[in-house]
Amino acid sequence: MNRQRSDVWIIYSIVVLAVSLVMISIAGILIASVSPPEETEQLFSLAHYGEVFGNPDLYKVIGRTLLLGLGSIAFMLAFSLPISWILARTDYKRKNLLFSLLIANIAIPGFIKAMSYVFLFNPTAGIVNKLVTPLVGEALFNVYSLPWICYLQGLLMTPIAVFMIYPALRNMDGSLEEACWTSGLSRWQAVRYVVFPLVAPAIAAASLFFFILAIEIFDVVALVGLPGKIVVLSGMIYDATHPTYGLPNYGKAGVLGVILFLIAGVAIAFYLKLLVQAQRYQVVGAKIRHVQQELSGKGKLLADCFIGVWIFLSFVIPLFTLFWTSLVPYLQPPSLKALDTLSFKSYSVALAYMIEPMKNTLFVMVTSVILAVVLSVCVSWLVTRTKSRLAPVVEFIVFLSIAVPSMVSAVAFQFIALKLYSIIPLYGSIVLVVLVLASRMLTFTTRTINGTALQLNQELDEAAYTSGLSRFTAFRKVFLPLVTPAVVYSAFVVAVLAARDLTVPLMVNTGNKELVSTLIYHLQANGSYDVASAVGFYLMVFLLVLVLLARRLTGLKQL
Amino acid sequence: MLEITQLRKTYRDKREQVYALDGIDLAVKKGEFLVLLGPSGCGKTTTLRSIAGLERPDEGEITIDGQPVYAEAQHIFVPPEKRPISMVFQSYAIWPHLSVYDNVALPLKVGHRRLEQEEREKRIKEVLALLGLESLADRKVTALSGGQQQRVSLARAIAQRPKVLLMDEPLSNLDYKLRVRLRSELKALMHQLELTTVYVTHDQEEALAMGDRIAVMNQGKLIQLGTPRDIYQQPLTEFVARFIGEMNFISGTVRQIDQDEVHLETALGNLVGKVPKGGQRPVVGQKRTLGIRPTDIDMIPEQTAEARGDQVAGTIVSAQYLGESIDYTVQAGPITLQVKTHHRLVFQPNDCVTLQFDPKYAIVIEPDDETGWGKRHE
Repeated sequence: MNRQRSDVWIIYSIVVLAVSLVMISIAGILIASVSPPEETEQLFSLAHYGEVFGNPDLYKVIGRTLLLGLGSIAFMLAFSLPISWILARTDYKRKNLLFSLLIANIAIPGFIKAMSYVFLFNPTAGIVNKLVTPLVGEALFNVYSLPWICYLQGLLMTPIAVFMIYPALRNMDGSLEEACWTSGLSRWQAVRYVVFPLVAPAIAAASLFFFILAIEIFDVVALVGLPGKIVVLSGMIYDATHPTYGLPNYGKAGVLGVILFLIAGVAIAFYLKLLVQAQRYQVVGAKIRHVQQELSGKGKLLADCFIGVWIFLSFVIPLFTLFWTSLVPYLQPPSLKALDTLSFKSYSVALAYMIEPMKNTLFVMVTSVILAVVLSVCVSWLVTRTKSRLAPVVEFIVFLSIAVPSMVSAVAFQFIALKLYSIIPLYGSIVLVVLVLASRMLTFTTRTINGTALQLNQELDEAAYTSGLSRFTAFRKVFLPLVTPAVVYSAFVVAVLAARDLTVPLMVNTGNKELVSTLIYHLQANGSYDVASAVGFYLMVFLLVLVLLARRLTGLKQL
Repeated sequence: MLEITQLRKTYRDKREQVYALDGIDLAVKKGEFLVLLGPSGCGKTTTLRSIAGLERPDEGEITIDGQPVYAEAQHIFVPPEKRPISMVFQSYAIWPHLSVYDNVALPLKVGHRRLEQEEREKRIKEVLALLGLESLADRKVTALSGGQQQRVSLARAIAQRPKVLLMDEPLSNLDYKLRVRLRSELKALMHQLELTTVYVTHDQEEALAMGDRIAVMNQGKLIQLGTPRDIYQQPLTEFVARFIGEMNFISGTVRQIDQDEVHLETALGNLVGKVPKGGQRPVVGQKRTLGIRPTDIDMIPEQTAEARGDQVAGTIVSAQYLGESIDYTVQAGPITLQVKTHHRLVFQPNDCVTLQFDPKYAIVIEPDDETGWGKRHE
């Protein structure tokens, strides 16, 4: 009996670890924000608040950040709504191809897409600008501007957004629409009075989710915003922790982080409200009938064109640009003269540069997958399989991590690591990257596993207990095998996102330990465009293999 | 009011063309309550959805009140919103973001069936009162019980005053007691409103209780059309007989025909039955099946038997006590028969009994393997 009891405590202690990871992010940022400036004896001070709110530009920066979020959503919806609609509610013929492309697109990291657009459209050396300047007398495009950042973020969020919006469109019971038609409403009236009001909450909820993502990801802002001096909150936090001279100012970063956290918190509150509303529209117990609209000849052409444009913007442009820049020594348009200088040398140079960073990236991937999965399996078991009174509290805290942008938890973890350096020397270590990434993914992985776990009948556990299995044995022999598909799926998602993330490794000072993503960033920042592109290609091939493997193993074969 | 002519629809099933509808002909009179009955996949819902315009058949014609709404030859296909129909769905399909009142009101506010405000309000009030929904008018429909949601769905359909009301298994999501109660309410309501109704169900009891006429379908074909009494007492095929209730089948060869009485030579000796209304008259020497319902066989203790009709000796094999009645399995020669008796008539296994077949209730039909129907649904 004693042995069984101590076994279950393993699960509980892992749950405590999960909760503390989230709490550290939130507590860390709060403590950092009230930390006294250097060389004072106070325990806490509001000096950093004074400093940040005294800056007259702050309100402009906040406004610009909100604009960045809204603009990114606008572009994201412009791409993902039509694509989701085509997939969910039409008889479009090439759905499987489209689905494959969406998955493959995840293998092109956002910062690599952004980099290719910088290569093409930056005002001084961009390839397209070099081409058009002789014709019109000036550089036509300036990628270093807010609309371009919004566009690039919208583009990079699109495949993930489709996977969120598509189910909402598909799960709307088609007989609700048919009931409109048999009640004398035309197709447009059916969309206006019934379909749109029903799917709007789900789409709005997805938009809020991506709003938070848009203001927290630093991938595009780092490549386009920093050189273009477009200051948003994430950039300000980065500047505060990565000053050109002097020490990182975690106090200031903390205050800015609190602001970012509050914005995300408000968005999450609305998100939850909308989610409840969206669920209320689901009539329980009713069978869902999938209705697919037949596309007319014109409709098919329109769908083909739209998808063609999306493919051009999100595949052709990045891949061709990177391939070209990987072959030539400096940014230049294709020309006869350039053809003479073509060489694959950058690929061998890239390989040599990549060995250490690749090891680090693999380490980060594997450890954050293990950490996120182990934590969330235990949380999920507690939340879905026990009647513990703590379960709702744990669920809420873990869910709260969705409102903690990774910029914020990066600052929090670094600040705490710095304070505790004499006890646990984690500051500047790659382990911090893992901790931040894993805690960031916790909401997603837990929810994914919960989704499967909630479908398991409670009697399965009761059958295990009445068959003489201890709780821990039931956890291992019944719960774990049954949630394995969800675990495998979330493991792959975490692995892919960890490998393509630039925000967290850039934020966390890891000394001279580079990851592949930061290597690419630093190479392009130093002007080694060819090698940066070549490393980018290697990374994309690696990610593609990972994504295809995930698709095979998780049965994501088709819709 | 509704005429369907030679309706056909095929779909592909593993490279094979399968008929979902295989030449359906059907006419529904004004004010009639017609039930489409059959096992799942028989084509009843496809027929209903074709009438609604939610599905487009490949061939044939559909006319409502003299106006063609579908005619393949003339390339006529009127979309559902322009047909004079309304429909009650199996899932109710009430709009979850609207109140009870607004669910009924929306089709009368926008779309092809809109009314002037004054008339609309009057109509809605009437219908809500008719279905006892006045007190729930402002409620969210998602807060209603299954039975109430069903009423809202019905109210929405009736308020549109359709020429033909289509119902797709509207009671199948309700529990048994409520279903039985709503059956009679629904039928009375349709007659009160003089609505022409086409009603799809797979529940034979429901079909018998509600239909003015029943159309039994199987594998895309209309197999028998008739009043509930006809369908039950004079089924034309083994399939219909089995699908609606139970029946004993005894095969034999025709020996003699006296007017409408057919004499069959069977494993149980000579048995007499009638050809059902609309059935094919056999010729002497043909194979035929004699069908008799378990309730139509009289069972009496052996010794008290007196000569009346055809008599067969049997032995009780087993009994199943069902409260109101008892189901006996009786071995008569090489044939096992089902006999249903009043619960007061008690026999023990191995009792010897005499079975009496009344020629009035025995039917003589073609065996199913000749017509190709039904065997798969045993």
